[in-house]
Amino acid sequence: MKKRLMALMTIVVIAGSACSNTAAPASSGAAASQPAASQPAAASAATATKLVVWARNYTVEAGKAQPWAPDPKAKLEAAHPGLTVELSGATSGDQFNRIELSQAGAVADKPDIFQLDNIWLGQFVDEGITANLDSYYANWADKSDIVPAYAESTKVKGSQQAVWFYSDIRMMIWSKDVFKRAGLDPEKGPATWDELMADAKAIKDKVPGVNPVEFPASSEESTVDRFYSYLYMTGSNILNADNTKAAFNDAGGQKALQLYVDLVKQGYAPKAVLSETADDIYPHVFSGKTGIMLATVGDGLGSLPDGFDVSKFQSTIGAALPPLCSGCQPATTAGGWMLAINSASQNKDVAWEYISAVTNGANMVPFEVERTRIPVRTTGLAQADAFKADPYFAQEAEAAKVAHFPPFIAKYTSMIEILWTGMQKAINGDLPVKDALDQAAADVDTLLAP
Amino acid sequence: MAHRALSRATPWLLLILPLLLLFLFLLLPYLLTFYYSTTGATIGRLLNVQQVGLKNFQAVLSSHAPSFLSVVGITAVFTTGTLVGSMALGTGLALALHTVSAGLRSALLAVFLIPWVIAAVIIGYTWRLIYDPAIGLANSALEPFGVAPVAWLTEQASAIAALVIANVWAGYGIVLLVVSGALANVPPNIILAGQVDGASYRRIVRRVILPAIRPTFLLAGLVALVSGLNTFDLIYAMTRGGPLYQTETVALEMYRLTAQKGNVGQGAAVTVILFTVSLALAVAYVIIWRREARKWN
Amino acid sequence: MELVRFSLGARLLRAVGVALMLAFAVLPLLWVISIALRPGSQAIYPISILPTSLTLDNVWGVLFGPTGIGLGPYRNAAFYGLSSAVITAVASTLGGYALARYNMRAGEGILVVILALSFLPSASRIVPLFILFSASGLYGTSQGVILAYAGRHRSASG
Repeated sequence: MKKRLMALMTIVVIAGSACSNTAAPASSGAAASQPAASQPAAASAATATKLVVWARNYTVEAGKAQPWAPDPKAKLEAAHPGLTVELSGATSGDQFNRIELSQAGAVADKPDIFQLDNIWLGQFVDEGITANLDSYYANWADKSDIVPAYAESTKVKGSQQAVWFYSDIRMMIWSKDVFKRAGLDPEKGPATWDELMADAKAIKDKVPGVNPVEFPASSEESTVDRFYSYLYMTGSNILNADNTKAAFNDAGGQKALQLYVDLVKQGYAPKAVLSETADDIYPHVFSGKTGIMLATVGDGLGSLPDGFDVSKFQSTIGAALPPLCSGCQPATTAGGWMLAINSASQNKDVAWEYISAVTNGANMVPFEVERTRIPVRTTGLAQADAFKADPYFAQEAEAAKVAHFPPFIAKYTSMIEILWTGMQKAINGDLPVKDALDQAAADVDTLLAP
Repeated sequence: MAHRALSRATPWLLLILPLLLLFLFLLLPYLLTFYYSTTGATIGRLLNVQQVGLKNFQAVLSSHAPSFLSVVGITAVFTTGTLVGSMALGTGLALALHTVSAGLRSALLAVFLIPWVIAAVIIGYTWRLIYDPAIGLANSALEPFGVAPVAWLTEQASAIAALVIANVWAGYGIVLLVVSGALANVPPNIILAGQVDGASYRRIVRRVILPAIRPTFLLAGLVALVSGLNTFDLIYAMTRGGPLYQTETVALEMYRLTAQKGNVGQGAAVTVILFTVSLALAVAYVIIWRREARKWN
Repeated sequence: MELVRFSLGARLLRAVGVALMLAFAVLPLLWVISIALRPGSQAIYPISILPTSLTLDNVWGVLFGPTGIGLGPYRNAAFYGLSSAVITAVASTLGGYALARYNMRAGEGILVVILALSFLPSASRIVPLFILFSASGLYGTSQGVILAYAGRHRSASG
């Protein structure tokens, strides 16, 4: 009996020590950037000794172009002796979590500067994580270099809360092979909705087994994100000016959704789009099973498969701004990343200095070229030559000038669920477009009511 | 003296580790969840929450998009399909392999168990690709037979069927394993007796083998049932519960309310509702198990 | 098993049945593997189970390429899996032994409740576990992950 007990106790001890084994293999993200033991005492006195920057992982990748270093970092540290810039990268999900957790006090270190996805801005401002940057913007020389549409969008409730870092926009893409087989000019995509319908008909008649048009319509974010461009071009908007009521059920919104519904009704888009995300559709275009994808992020160059060089890519995929309805204004949706200063930071001046240097148009170009991102500075957009590896950069530069942004509100994820459900009801034929949008708008109004 | 006290305390000493583990990481989280179901907690506001009584339950049961009744119905269909499918495939396969030579049986068992050890998310995305209407394996396989491409995950009936197929693919392995093990323990005498009486193999299976493995069979059934009820990753990866909530099960509804809408209180209410079903299942299981155990003692 | 003699017809039926099941079990995996081993230019379509040319570029690219994930995730998975398996095995053995060897009336009720709780989807533990982990400093640590899995006891659906 005693021997058995001893054996059991031994096992318990071993299991217990396995529990406290802290030799965890390092992985990226929050786990690695937080020491499990005690923290070094926060050494921020009157003179800053450490500037903590929380960035996305691919912006701090060794051996690749970085916007943060080497120049901006070295210059800042030279200008402030004793200061070190501490950069750490995280994946998108981890980045969101560690910012939120540091605000909730669950994480010991706080960043001075953090990079955020533009759709998080509303929530972060609501929670008081971002610092008001109006005083810095007021005297900023580079202010006029920012593309106007972008400069406006970092304002929340009237004051500047972030600085645009880099962007991506939505373009329409098509399969050049499918166009050729349908007797269409592979270099020229449809420029208007009428041309879109005509091209779709040509593909349907002449190329069997291929979907002429596809757009995401599943229960997921890409459905609304890829729809917005068509909404904006009709002059409609998602929410009203102060983000209190839905605006997408106006005449313009109905017109945009009617395009989707008509495409399905005419058999140009399969009903299966109701279960497809943007990521599902992109390979369809690439492998020639779908003619046109109404909107995708960038021109697809960022998702280049191995074995494809730029010229091969350009001979497979065509890209252009989303086609225009008659009487409409060119528009596209933009997304991307911003930089903000933590409201609790003790080093706001130094942080601003760094942000200003990092986001400078010329400084950003090497990173943007390598990662196929869109500059948000006119000086960056003007450097078409540097971006020549991206076959559709000229179109993207044009598109950036007409970029719109989704509303940066805290309840964004709940709102888009209501919107995509309404869209699905119309596409599925359950409700006419007007009723589906009105119902969704009513639900959104209830959601946003204080 | 001390020895007697020690031996009386031994069972509890042995239970310290498992009890602590269960308490901290199973019981406590659920106690918290049950508490939250009566509060207005949201993702952004988890502390200092205010009591709302049964309002969350009211909201969940009377929700109109999706209606809770349809969610329950979808869950029932999906779970039943998974149960029947995995039990049929797993048991049938176990019976077939039982009559095969031992070496071949082990090799085949190993291959058949592969789907069971793959993470549910991966299975979900794999089958999502298979069901892709344009480039998926399912439609490509049907094409030579002249079948037009099916939009598997779009219509409710085919979507639920597709999900059941994928979940059965994922789960039949454990049924196969458990029933195989039980079959190996069936005493050969009773089979011989059946043979001597001139019964066909089918008869022997129905009248002799299956009753002999009844407790294990029920256990496998319970595992399959619970796994069906429990399924979240697979459905989320394949359809997200859509389109139009047509594949929204109770587990997905719980997640949607908690993570997507941020309403922790309502998500917790769904968990409580699901728990009452689980409790009934657990009680049923224990009753059946004890009855079977007593019979064979 | 030689106890029951099978006719040729019955054996054929069995072979066909097992072969069909084998196809069902293995085809999805083979298809995915064949996509992984294809050069990118053959993208996804046309599908043929046997690709015309094989390449390890994709596998290499995912693991060691410029945006590769490296071997870290495998180490993590092995570490988390093994650790929680060990803890679960030890805990279950101790618990099972105690409950079986000693006549404990309290055990019955505990068993039913624990059983019922383990039937619930693991996604329902996310929020309370997050609170517990943040409060105890276990957030973002591997110990937290391992203990969360060990408390689950078993996970047939992942």
